[in-house]
Amino acid sequence: MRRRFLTILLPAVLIVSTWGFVGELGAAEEHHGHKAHHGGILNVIGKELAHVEVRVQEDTLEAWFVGGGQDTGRSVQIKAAEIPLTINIPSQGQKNLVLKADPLKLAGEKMGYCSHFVARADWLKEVMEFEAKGSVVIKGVKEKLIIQYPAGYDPLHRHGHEHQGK
Amino acid sequence: MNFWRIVLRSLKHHRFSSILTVISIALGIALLVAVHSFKEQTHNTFTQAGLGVDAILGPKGSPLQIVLNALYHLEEMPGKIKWTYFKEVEKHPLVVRAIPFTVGHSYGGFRVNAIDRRFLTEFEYLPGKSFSFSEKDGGQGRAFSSPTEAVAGWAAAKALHLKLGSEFSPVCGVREGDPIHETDRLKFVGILAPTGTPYDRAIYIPLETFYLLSGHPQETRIMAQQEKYREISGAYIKVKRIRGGAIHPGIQDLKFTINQSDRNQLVVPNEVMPRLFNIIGWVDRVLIAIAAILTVLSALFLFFSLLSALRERRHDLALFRALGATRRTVMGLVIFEALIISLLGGVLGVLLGHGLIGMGAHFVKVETGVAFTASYLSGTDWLVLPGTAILGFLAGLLPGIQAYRLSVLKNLSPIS
Repeated sequence: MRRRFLTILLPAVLIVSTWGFVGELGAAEEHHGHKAHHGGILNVIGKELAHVEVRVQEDTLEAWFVGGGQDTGRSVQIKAAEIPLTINIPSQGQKNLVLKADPLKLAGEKMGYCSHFVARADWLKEVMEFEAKGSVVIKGVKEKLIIQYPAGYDPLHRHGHEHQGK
Repeated sequence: MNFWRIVLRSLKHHRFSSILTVISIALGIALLVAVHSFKEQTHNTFTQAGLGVDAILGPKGSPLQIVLNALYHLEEMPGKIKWTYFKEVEKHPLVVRAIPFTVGHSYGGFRVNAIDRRFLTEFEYLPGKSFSFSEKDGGQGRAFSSPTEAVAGWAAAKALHLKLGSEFSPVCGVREGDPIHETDRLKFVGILAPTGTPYDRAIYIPLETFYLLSGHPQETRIMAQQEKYREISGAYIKVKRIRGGAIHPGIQDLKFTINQSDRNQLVVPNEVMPRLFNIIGWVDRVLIAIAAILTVLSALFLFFSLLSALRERRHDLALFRALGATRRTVMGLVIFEALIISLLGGVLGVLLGHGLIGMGAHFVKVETGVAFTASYLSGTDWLVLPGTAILGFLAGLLPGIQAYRLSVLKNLSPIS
């Protein structure tokens, strides 16, 4: 009897009461909005066709191609093995950097089907801000790739809408 | 006559209503104290402890469902993941330990989890605390070492009266009426010392045993030999630490990567559980509101009983005034009476609230594996007595003012 009582009482607080919300919680995860899931900076590609999230740590620049709009939690794979970038650093001038494909194996990626790119350069250790330009074929469309670090490139929501990191 | 003696005499005079008021205040306070203590202790257990798991590798589905199943032995796992994928994750440089498990069996209402032996020998359910079979800790026996052996969590063993050497046949499923693996007899060789966690509420069998149980289809049996076909329900993941023992921030990259895969996801319990508590916060709020309403109603009851007692005692109080008592003394008599009743109710309520937690703790531990302690002092405990004193003062204030304004002449005149 007491077992039956507790079986009802406890789940009532912990489980049964939440049952209806389980799906809601799952759904809530899908709508986190413009979130940089790696703690980096989001840059818009095209008219929010996609984003590239950029994170610089020491001499390494990592870039993740992710969905457009609110879909920044979903990776977008591209065919290119390398993406050359022209970097403009204030007061230092131009430099070149090549992003190289680094497939996320646990996500089932491989060369030619990759959303994660990495570049290494000593000067990245010192750089405080830069603008990088290049181009990329993403979702079958050739688009300009513009990265503004650390502000983030977002021409559509330049005023009053900021992409946020974690 | 002494002031306090008069107050006590008055309480004694209308003891029935006083006792009733004390009891009703006590019930409201007890509920308030118990709910708060239950809430805080549950919250601490479910969020701060982390149960030794930084992340759970599981199939696609509700993250909450995965956490509830993998850590709290509730719900069901939404699917399975490939063993080969688990091995890839295990090799990731960030992963310190990965313990695979398969769920879906039960015995006597408790989940039977097939799990890697390292869970019993290496896993830390709290920082620095591993499972113990030592008798001085309350455990018995040893970890399983063959496919026909099993280990019971403390609460499961206690509820099912399991002893070393007891045998059982697991039920293929977690619902009543699910088929039993009747020809498979597994022997308990160990009982875990109590941990105060939901791990106490399960039975553990070797991972390989799951694939070999009779009644499972041929493809399940093949999984025992062929790794490429093998599937598991999930894995407990422990990742590297950074300074101060904090989880390596790279866990977010790992989560993102795994979550991009078609069939798998990485769930971080410490992210899911606080959100669960935010969602179910309304349950606490409803219970607390009920307790608060009950307490306020008790205060109203106190107010009306004081008011009616005052009507009965007008003559006495007027006589008291005539004998030299000041207006303030008469007012004080009424207010202190209210204060004594409310404080008695408050003290009794605190004791009763903790008693309720104490009485329920054993059953809660057996049912959920979560340890509650009656001696836990929640934030509410420190506010209860001042709160009831204020409530008592407010309840006694109006009758007190009426007593203050009592006309001696009018109330000393003959009643009939």
